Amino acid sequence: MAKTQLHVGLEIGTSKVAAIIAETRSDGLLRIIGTGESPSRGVRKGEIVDISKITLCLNDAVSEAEEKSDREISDVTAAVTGAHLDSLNNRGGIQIPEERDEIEEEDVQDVEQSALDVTIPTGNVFLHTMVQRYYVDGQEGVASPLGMVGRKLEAEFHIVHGTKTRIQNNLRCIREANLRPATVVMSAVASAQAVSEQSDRDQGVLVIDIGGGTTDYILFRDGAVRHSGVLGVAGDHITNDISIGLRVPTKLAEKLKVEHAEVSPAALSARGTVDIEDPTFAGGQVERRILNIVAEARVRELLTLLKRRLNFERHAQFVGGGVLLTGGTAELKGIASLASDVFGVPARVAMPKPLMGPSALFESPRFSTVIGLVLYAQSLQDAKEDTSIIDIVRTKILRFIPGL
Amino acid sequence: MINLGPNAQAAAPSAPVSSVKVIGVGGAGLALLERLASMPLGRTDLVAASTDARALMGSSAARKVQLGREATKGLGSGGDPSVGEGAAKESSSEIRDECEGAAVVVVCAGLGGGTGSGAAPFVAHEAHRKGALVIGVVTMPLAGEGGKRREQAERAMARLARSCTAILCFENDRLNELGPEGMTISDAFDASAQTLAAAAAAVVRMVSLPAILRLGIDELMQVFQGSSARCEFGYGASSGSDRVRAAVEEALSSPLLESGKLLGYSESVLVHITGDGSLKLAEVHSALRQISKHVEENAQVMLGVATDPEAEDVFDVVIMACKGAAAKSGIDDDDEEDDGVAQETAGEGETPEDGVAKPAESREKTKTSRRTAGGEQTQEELPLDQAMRGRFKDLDPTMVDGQDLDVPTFIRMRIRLK
Repeated sequence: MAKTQLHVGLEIGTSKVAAIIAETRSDGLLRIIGTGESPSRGVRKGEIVDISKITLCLNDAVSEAEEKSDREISDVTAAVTGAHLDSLNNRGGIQIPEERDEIEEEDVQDVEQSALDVTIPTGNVFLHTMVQRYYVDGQEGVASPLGMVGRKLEAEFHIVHGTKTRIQNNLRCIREANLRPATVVMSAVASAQAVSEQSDRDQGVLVIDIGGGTTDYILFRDGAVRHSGVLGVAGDHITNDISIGLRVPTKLAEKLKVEHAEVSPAALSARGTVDIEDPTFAGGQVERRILNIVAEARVRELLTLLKRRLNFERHAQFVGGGVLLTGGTAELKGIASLASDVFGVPARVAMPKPLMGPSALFESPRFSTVIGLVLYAQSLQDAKEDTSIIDIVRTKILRFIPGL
Repeated sequence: MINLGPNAQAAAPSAPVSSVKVIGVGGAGLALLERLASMPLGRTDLVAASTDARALMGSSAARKVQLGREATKGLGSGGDPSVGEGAAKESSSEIRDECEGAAVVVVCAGLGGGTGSGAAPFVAHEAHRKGALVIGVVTMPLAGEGGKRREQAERAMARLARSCTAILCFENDRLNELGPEGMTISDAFDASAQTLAAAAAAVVRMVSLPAILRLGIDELMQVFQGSSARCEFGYGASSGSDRVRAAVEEALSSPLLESGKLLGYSESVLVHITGDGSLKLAEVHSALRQISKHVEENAQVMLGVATDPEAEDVFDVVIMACKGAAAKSGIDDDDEEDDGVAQETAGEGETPEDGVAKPAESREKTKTSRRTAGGEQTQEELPLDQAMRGRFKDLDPTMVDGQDLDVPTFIRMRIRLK
């Protein structure tokens, strides 16, 4: 019987810091025992610009979670994001030593190492290597090569890398808060873990997490990651556009976005006005149609850009699971119908998997990443105990990046 | 380094735009006209428009329009914009007559009071319907004048923005910082009017004198967009053998520019030089060199040069710079009838702003002008990269395919909000 294991997810987002403490009970189920949230300060477009400010927010969120769970934590699974994260696909290959035929764990590691022999920009470090498929003696579609007989092992990997100093900044403020970033996960990977099932990923699915400062995306085909990345455009941009287009202060623009803006194609011809009861705004009311036009233009552009980046046409017929939208901005009215209009495949807003525990507050797409983090940490644990598990985590992330 | 704007290419000297009208509306507008009347402006008609018959009588403007003969019986509008607006509507046919055939109409007013706040937006609207390019030159009331005037001014501003291509807005509070402390209110208004007149005159000259290096209206807009943009302004004029150095120094030493220091913080700087027929290239170069010392490396400097063949030994230079500019866009106010005619993109041909035509490449980048079927030109939207980044203005831009995604999508895609 496995002992109780504690997992802590920590997301430093552009709009909020969220912490979740969860434990894996003896029956293997994950239960949330404490949560904490604090509005972010000092983060722009997913990247930390003011360590001292964000460390305070981080302390607030973590202490709240600690108090609720009555635990003290030190090791955390942290999410990283920011437009500096980039990805590529690369193939690695090795010859199996003459003296044996069967492929062993060591070979699997070697082939991964050989795939990392690619050029990434100076100053960048690898964050994830996620296996897409193995080839044994050129034969495609081998799920797990362990124990197979062959002379040559090859594999295609999805590799995520990012600017070292920016990842370091992220880790530094976690350390400032007296925590240890035991595992570092790309936000998109975590969100996908929270909102998609293995079956979705097998069918092919595009997960788009639109937060405050960044849009994190990840595309799965045949259960493997094919594409991932971050775009530094998200909910704050919608707010900014509204603020400029309707000439209202940012706070009011945010409120209009959350409460009234609608981006479905039909909403562009919306009628009527929104009354504004705000002493800082003299105008009194804004036209719904204009509000919607401004918001829709931004979101459509964002999604269209993603579509182009992913070369989505090439993948569309292999993405049977459609588009899953999550992150705080997924709460924008009409976003699913806009996304299916843009991508030409079904799209829906995806909530994070419900977990046991007092998690009512966390039943929102805003918390997909942080919930994904604990799920990720858990499956990592499982993978360690059972090497036969094939999941996106069977992907050997670099748990500790030398020098970070 | 000075980067010249895309318009800094030589164009053959062309015929002056003869049809520039400056319409002063209300008390402050008339006062501004008085000052403009004594300045060399090229071929420009000055039109005084007021409800106050006595004030009109005292005006030296060539053309006069008494607003609302019936409504106000020749008196002022009593600080009530609805009276001002009613008066203007009553005299709308006269206003339209004055705007007839004008390519550029400059509407000058002090916002906050009755006539300025009520009538000026209407005048701008009529001028705009006549197909003219409308530039507003306005002042905002002093903080000490109270919240009501401020509110009236803000409303008027929003309505002006509908019809104006560009608005130069001066905060009286800010202008008053120019003078010594303890300045009387009349001195304060006087100083503010003087600065305002210099600015307005410069703009008028830019569009009315034959240009050697053109400044497009789009470039003007880059420098003054939006009511909340803080416009820094310096003006200098001189003559004689040392005229370049003297004029530039005078312009730089303008208190609004804080002796040139503020230029260092500005993202775009507009320099307009007016000379007599003998203006030499070396003089322009020399002026630019002097100014460039004060300008930040990455700032864009837009240069315009015009000559006034009728003037003798004149060299004057206007430096305008904006920083911390805020958004401007065409929000609608609710109480005005919508002329909701289908918009069509302007042809390259005889658009009203051809008088200040932009070169093709600049038009490519900034072309936003649209016309209604009736040949009206509606307000241009402003592709102001830095200013339009709003809350992202201090961050690295998110560049994708050569576009700064921090700039609102509707602006980059030129979606009209109407």
